Amino acid sequence: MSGVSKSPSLPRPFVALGISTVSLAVVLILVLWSTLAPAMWAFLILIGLLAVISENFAPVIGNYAISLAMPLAVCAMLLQGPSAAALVAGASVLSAWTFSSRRGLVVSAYNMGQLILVSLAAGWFYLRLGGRLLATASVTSPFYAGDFPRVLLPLFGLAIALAVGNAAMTALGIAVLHRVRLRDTLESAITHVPSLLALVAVGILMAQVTATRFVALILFIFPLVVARDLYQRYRSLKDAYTDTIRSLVGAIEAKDPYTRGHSERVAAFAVEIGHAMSLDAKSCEKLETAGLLHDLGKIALPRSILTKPGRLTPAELSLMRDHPEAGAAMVNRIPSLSELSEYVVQHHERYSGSGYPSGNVGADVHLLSRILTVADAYDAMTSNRAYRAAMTCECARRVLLEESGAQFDPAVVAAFQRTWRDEVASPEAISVIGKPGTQSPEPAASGGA
Amino acid sequence: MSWSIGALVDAWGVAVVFGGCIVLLDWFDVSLPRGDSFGVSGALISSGFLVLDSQGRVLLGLVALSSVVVLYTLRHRGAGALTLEVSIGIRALAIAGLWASLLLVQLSAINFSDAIVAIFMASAYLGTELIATQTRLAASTKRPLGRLLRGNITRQTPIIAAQVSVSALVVITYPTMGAYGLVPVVAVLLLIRQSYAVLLQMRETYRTTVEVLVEAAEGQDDRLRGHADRTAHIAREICMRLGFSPSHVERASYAALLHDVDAIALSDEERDSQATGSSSLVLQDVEFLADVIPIMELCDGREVAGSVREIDVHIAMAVALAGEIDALRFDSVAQAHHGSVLRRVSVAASSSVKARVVAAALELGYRIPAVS
Repeated sequence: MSGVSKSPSLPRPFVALGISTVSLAVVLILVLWSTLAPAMWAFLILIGLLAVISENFAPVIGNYAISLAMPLAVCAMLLQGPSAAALVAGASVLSAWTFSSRRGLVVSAYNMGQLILVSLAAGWFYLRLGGRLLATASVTSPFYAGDFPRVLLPLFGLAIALAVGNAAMTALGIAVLHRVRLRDTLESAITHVPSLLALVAVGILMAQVTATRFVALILFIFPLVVARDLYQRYRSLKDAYTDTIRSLVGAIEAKDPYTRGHSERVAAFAVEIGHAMSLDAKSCEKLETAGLLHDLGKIALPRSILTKPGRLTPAELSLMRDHPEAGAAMVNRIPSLSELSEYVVQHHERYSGSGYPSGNVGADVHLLSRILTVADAYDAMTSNRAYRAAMTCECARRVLLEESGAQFDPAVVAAFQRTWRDEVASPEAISVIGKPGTQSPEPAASGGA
Repeated sequence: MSWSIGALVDAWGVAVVFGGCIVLLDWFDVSLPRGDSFGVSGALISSGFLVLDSQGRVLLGLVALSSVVVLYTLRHRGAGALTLEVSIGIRALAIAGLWASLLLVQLSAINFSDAIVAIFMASAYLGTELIATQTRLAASTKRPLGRLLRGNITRQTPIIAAQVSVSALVVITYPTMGAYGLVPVVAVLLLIRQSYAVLLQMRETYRTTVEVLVEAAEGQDDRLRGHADRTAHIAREICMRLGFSPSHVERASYAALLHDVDAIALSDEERDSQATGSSSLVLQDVEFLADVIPIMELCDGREVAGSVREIDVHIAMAVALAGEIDALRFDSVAQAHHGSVLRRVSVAASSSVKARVVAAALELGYRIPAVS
């Protein structure tokens, strides 16, 4: 697993981290070379070549690339020791920078350095726990049933050290690169540990097969290619998901000139506020989707009510006030989004308790709903409506401040103020910025004081 | 061959280890929307047959069959899932396929390597399982077996090849590592299973989301409510009747669900006055729907980017006809609008394409409009 995003201007701390990681890796390889030098160069070159090919086909999952070179590094480690694993891992990541344009030099260097360090540490740990190498200068000796259960502990130690070490180092790199909290990136990285453990298991099997019947390595092609292909299809579908919601909601809203683009802007503002409040990446993702869907219930309302220039009658007002519940009911029908229905149903609640549909007070309303309320109100105020013209951004900002503690959560309003800038917090500007990213390294999307 | 108690206990030891792994893998099988399931235990069942002796094979077969019973007893199966009897029948047939392939190997005069035999036997097991499952599906849905098999073999070959490879790996590592070698093998199989499961879950989520949003949008217009969903159902039926592969049926389904997305909430007059639709434009930025866009462009009467494939014309015709059929059945739906969609597609379709699609709809018992 390795950090992947290529950024046009890398933060200095990340550059420093990358240089120090690579330097440490190089020093360690040089110091340990005499004791750990691999015995069978021809074999190592072949494994390294396979790793290079695998790394350049690594499927990207979110901010992480699940590298299929990992099993080959494990294989090299078990056969020839930590330095062999370090060389295979290093060569594969370096090649990804050489052959592929998707990674920058410093990012690739960090990935290479961290993989080398983790491989060396895990290999050292394996040998310290009593593990043995399967290949020496001229003899290969696979694991035999008689070796078990004695070798289980070192193998288990190797797997844990590689998976956890790799996940932790990748999380560190992403946290520094994207200037997000280490806790968030660690939480995300930990979810990949089971997949990494499975890949380590593949590596153990590869080493055993190589030591038993080298040519049988070819049998690993289909399982690994299939796993990679399925992951990539999953990834492309996940990418398309938010785009599809955006397109369909946009098409629905396009019928009403007063609400065109409203949901997309609310989603963008809500994510801005979420970032300003240091919410984790998952919460920001939820904010984006909930922002896109928050007014879904309105499409069941007659257009005559939505576009009425004057004051609504009590009956019309009652219908209008049903829209959060109607929207929540629709969102609730999508199993993976049912959690968002709570935020959708509460987006017209007020901090003071005078909102609808339930009249919940303060913290009884979910934080994400309180954020949506501010984002929704700000966009509504700064957009033309059938019954009034748009306010200026400055005027809307003053209203938010005046209503802070009454209609709106003061903490959310304060966070919104921190993100506020003329060029960002206006409906026109947000449509120029385009799709808001939940972990975007772009300064323009993260707002500023 | 000895059937003494001692030999039976020895055979039990190994068969129980294999059996335990098979139960574990069966437990994690993935239920598929069409009623059957995706499992990865076949690789272990077939390799177990090769590394065990006769008693072990009998015991392994019994454990593999019992595993199905355990699964049905302890785990809830969704609506439309195969019954216990059918599932046991399919597994029994697959095991019979294993015995037959083993017999063939033993009768053969050629001394194949164990890895080659493992590949042959795993192919026999998984092939028999696939044929049995599709035969049952053909019988229950009255669809042509040959077409079902062709579509599924194309789609499932990589996954079957992956399982066959794993089966050969078991046979290679078992003589040295013994049952301990099954641990990494199970990990590899679970990795494949997990990759498939998350993909399937995401597809389901995607589809439900599109359905809910389209239905919500239709809710603005009493005359349209439920139209997209019904059209998708009819288009799916027509495409299945034409013997199209599951991926083409899925494309037809998405195209039908979304064919009116531009016209939602327009008045009848506004809708009928449009000479060209724009549904394809609404969704042109969604990469996942790139395969669906040419069909929607045909329905919209727009020029298709690149060359027009015959299969796309077939599907577009099915979608347009399905929309018109639904418009006829429910007078409230804007018929003139759907008539224009059908006319647009008819321009691009040859007479043989039209005839095939119309014949399929008639066979399904639908009352259809006149197609020029």
